[in-house]
Amino acid sequence: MDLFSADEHDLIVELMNMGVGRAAHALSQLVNDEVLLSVPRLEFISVPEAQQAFRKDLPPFLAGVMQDFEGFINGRAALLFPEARSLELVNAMIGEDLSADEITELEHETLAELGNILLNHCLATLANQLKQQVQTDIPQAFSISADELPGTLNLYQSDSENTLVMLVQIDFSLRNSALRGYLAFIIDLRSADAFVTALRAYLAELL
Amino acid sequence: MMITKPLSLLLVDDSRIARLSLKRQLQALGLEMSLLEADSADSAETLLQTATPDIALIDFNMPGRDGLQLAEGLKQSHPHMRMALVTANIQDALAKRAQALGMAFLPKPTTAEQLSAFIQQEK
Repeated sequence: MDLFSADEHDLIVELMNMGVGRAAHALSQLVNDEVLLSVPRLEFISVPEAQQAFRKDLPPFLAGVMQDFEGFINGRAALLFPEARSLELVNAMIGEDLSADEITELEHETLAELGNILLNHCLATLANQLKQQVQTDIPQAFSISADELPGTLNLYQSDSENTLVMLVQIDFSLRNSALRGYLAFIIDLRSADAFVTALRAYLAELL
Repeated sequence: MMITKPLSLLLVDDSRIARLSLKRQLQALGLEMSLLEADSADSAETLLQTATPDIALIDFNMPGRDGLQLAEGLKQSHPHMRMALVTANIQDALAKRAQALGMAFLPKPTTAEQLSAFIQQEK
């Protein structure tokens, strides 16, 4: 895929690293634990290929949050957890003196706020570094099977065959618990001009 | 004898969890304060028809009007109320817009130190 040069590809990975690093710091504050991150995996693929990647990599039942964004980049970001562990996360964030029923009741709201914080940190860091702006929508929490995820995340159902997406996947885990999660950014590359221009301007200053 | 009244704070955030987190941090500061809560710009304005808090902590990204749109109106109607934009959207451009309105900018998740520093400025 020739849309981005090798330097631009490296820069995207580095910027996502910085963004996820900021998000990890925020998560670490929220759950009082060290957050371990994988190196971001960056792929330029079609919507059907992204669907296959989700099916292959993810556990069968998921709890998650998604948030649309638009500006110099347009797309949808998602924060995903194995559903069986999401209550553990809620418990780590707010559960000290709450009953099991209360924790269950607050699960979706807690995930939405967590997604809001983590996804915004990533996107805002990307925008700040590139001196651009991006607007984020209200986060939506969900619990679904992995088979339903492609439908939930599908950005352009009417034209999915012709849409190229930039899929950035990052795994993270907490040092003192078995909780793992997964961040994905699906960026619509049909309108990538502003993104490419911003990357080139950044590199021109750097090189 | 000087009588000091408890500080009054308004929390505006559509997320109940975000308000709960803020409340816990504020209560942990050990200051005498009364807290009001609103889950939208509209409900904040309704509350402010009958209450005059000293401080408002306002989320940015809410359904309906966002936190800056709310703050623009409140700057006119409640010029003595100090305001902070409390948001996970840590973009420089947003921070500048908040500062242009005279608001403090507190990134989410907030820390007790940041909240304390902002509130103590009021005293």
